[in-house]
Amino acid sequence: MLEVRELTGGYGDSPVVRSVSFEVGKGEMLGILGPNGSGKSTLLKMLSGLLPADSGTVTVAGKTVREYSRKEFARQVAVLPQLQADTFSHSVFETVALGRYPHQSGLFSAWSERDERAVADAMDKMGVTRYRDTQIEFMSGGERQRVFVAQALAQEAPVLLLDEPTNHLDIAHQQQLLDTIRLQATENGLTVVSVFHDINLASLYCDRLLLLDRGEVAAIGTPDAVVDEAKINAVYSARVKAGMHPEIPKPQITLLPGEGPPERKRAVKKEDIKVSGQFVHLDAEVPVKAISSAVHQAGAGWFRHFVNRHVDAGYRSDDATAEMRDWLSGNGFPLSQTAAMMTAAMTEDAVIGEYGTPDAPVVVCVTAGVGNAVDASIGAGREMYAGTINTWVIVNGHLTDEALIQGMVTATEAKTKAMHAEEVLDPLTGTVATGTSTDSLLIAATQTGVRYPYAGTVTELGGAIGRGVYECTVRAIRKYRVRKSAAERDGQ
Amino acid sequence: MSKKWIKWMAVFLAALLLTACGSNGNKADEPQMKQEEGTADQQDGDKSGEQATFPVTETDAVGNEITLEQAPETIVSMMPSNTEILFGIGAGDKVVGVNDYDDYPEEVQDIEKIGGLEFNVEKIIGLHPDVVFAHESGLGTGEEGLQQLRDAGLTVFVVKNATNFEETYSTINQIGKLTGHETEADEVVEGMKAKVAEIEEKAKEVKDEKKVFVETSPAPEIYAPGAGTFMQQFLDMIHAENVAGDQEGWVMMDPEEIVNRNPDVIMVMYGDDSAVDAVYDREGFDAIAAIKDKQVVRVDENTTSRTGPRLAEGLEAVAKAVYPDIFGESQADDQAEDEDDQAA
Amino acid sequence: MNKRLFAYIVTTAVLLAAIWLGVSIGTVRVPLRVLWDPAADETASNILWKIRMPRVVLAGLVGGSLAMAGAAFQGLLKNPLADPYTLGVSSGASVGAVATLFFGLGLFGSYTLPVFSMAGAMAVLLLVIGFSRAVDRSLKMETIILTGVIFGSFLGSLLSLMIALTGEELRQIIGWLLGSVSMRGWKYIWMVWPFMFIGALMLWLCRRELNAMLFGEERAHHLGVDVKKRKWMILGGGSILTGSAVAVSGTIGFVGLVVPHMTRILWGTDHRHLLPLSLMNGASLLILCDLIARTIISPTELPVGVITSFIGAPVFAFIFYRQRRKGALRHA
Repeated sequence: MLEVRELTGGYGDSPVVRSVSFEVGKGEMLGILGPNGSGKSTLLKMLSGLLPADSGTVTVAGKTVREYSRKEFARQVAVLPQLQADTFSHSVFETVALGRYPHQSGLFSAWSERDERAVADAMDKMGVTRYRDTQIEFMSGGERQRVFVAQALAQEAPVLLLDEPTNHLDIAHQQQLLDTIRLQATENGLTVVSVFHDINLASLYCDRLLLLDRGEVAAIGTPDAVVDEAKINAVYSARVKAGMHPEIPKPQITLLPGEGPPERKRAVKKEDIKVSGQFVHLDAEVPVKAISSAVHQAGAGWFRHFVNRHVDAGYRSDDATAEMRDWLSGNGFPLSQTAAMMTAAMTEDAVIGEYGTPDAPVVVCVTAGVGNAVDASIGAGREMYAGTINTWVIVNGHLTDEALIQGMVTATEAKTKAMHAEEVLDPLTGTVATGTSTDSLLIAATQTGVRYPYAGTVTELGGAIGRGVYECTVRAIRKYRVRKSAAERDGQ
Repeated sequence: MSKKWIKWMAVFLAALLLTACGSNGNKADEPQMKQEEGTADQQDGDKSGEQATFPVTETDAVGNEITLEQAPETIVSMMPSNTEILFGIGAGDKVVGVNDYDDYPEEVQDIEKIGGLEFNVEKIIGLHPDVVFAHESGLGTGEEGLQQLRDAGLTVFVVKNATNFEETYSTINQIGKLTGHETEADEVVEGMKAKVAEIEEKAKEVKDEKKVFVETSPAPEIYAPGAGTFMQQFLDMIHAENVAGDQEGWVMMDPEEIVNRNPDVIMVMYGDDSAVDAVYDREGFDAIAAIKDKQVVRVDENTTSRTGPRLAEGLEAVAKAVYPDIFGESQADDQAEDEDDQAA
Repeated sequence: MNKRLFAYIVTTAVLLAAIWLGVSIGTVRVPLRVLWDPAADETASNILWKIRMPRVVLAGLVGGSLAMAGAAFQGLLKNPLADPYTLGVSSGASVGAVATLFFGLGLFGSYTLPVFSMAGAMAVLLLVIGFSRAVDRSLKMETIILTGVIFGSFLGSLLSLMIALTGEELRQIIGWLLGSVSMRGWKYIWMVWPFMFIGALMLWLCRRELNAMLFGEERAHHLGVDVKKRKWMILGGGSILTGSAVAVSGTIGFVGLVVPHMTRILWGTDHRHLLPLSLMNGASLLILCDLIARTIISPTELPVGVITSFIGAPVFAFIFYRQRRKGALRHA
């Protein structure tokens, strides 16, 4: 649809854009990225014919820009420049209707049925039909931008060029606008080329990205290929961390501020874990990095509070996560900074131990109940209960993602070993159980001090985790059994 | 033709002045100093030629008592009417500076010009006049300048703005006394009185008073003198009716009203012969008696507006223009031709 | 559609009423019978047909031209304070006219002044555009405005120079500068109407482009407008209108500034309607102002430019106040 060959040009003598080449197919959405002054907007101006190229060609639908008359070109390419203030106001309808300009000709240029339909369609698509007679000066920036997109859509041009369309818009308006444009590309085959300031937005919405560096193409390709830590760092001279969007497979970047996370003054010790009949609580004072299968805030994240809450064995809730949130806020825990799990086991029986170096120990905390122990090799088809062996491992050290996961593996293996050692049997199958039906595991690292690249069983850290989890689990199971037999005696 | 040429020159010179203002100012100083000494010598030498009537004391238009110890040898005239009086009473040879618009008599062409409404104070001081004849009508714009002249030690006499013949006579007499030409002034006044009396006598013959419309500026902004103007007096004296007589001072007349008032004579006080043709050409004026009867005449504005010795001639010109059968054919056209010939 | 039709009906009615008042009222009471029976009263018929009628028509033409040019310039320059005189075209016309009076030129008889005035206007337009192009090839509006201001003030000083040096023509020059439609007659009308027609047509052909340019030249370009060509057409058309209006009537202020504003507030910004409605309103306003000028202290006449400014300034102040208030409320 749009083909750019060796495009060079700009203002004055030294070109801002240098031999840029790319193609955009029908229905494709291409995002142009680059730091300030890299020539993004200049490139867009050259594509739209506003700025003549020094050399190279822009071809739209088989014809170069120069071969089109202004009106013909406007029938092929619609452009939405950045938001700007206007002196005089038009109504929404008048504004959108201007989009029909390239389709009108002749002295009186009568307004046709088709014009009316195109305007109505465009207003409909952008959801501004109900503002038809409103003066645009009375609209908010987001609404106004939608009106202008409607104007561009009313042009019914197969190519749409956008210059930072979401500039000055709040996130809801950004989302609405880009969702609509994306839909036009997907459903109606609109070819979209848009300059983006925000790398993450571009990555989310575009099929392909073009990264400009001082007027030259630094990278072009799918978001996965372009939104690369090294490339972004180099082109933008900014320290970023790239990762995947938590919900969809699109890369996202996050800035790394000059200052790292707040330093902990001292190591996390076993004394920091407070135990009561209701819950076990660790306040790490500053957020630490954790990965867990908690009920609240599962997955990876940075948290300050860790809670292991006692619930009755008969606890049932349609939405355990919501119930947990209510309970947490009821008890004064900040939701965003707290990872929390639940257990039917008695929290006052929690076993807490320190392993490894005394200055920066690995702290392990286990609560256990093995009433619904399960042999994992034949475990399917049972009811879910509240978690019964909940294991926390807090490392005073800097762990890579790899080490964190390895730590989880190590901890799980150690737990299983403890089940074996204590000869906990699956009551249904009679075989040795590997855990219980709803065990939870949390590995946290302060991300300060010693760096641990690995935490496999043979490493120093892995050894500490393995031994700690094994010992604590064994002691927790024994405490559970003592309490259970006492309860059975009382029951009789 | 020469008038236009002078104007072009004026524009050009003004442009030059704007660009070269600074350097000009410096050059002007030196010759002044020299002149000062020179004139002082002259005065000493001329003392013997005094007339016996001096010193003379007269009160001027602003109430200042001005005393001249001896007959002035150098005079600056700041108003064409003053100049005409000075020449009329034979003191023209003493005049060393005149107004830019001075054009009568012919000799003024060779005399130093001191400016128009805005006059050049430095230049006047540099001329070292024994007396400066200013004019009451120029006080509005020129008062500060006059004070500067007085501060520079010059004798400034503000001549009254005469509003009728009597006042004109008295200003002529006054200037005569101050310049030591009292007798000549009396002669001039007597001559004027005689002429006026003759015209008033003839005017008694007028049976049908003619309606006259006087224009002082051309279409589209047609201004006419109303009550309280010299022209009103002229028309009264010759028994003619001023159709704008119900208005005070100079007014821009609605052309509809001019047509409606249907003057018998239209008197044009500006431009040249083409001005008369332009009046005949005016759309919508066809119904006016003056147009139908070809009674559009042009009268030289200067003789009728300058309160000097020619004022009686002005009255005569108006009389001839309105009642040619009684006062004889108008001379205005011939005069205009003469002027053009001279200029060429 | 309803509102638009209403706008045209009201505006046309006002214009017809203004024409009727302009023709029927005057210093001299004229029996309107002479309209169809000129022989009834020759003087009255002369006054009506040859003096009053042409000035009403000329007031309409001049007022309409200035208002339409003002509307176009305000739209093109995206500046609510722009008026037909912003580009200095009127200064050019004034210098041409005043020079004619000052030097007593008479090359083309009674047509000399308007011809020189038009020539002055066109010369200044070409100079302003030429100079702007030399400064900045893309012909940015800011450059054009600034150049207009520079040329305008230079020509203004030239005017002042001629006024300072003039003697007996002073009143004529001042009178001309104040503006008037008196005593121009039919021949002036025959002379200027083709120019005004061409100017108005040029602007009317750019009505939709003006709408687009309200959003900025860049957006207009993207909408398919040949911005450079249209800019030329609008500047040219507006200047022809202004130049011919100033040439026959002098610099009549405020009509070109206030009428487009009033029309915009009443009927909206859409130039397809703003241009013709401004034209009609400008015609009505100047016809009425001229009526006031020639009747208020009858039989003495006032320069119509005095009346337009006298009425225009308070109206403009009111609009300014209203818009500011509206803005203040919106931001509160």
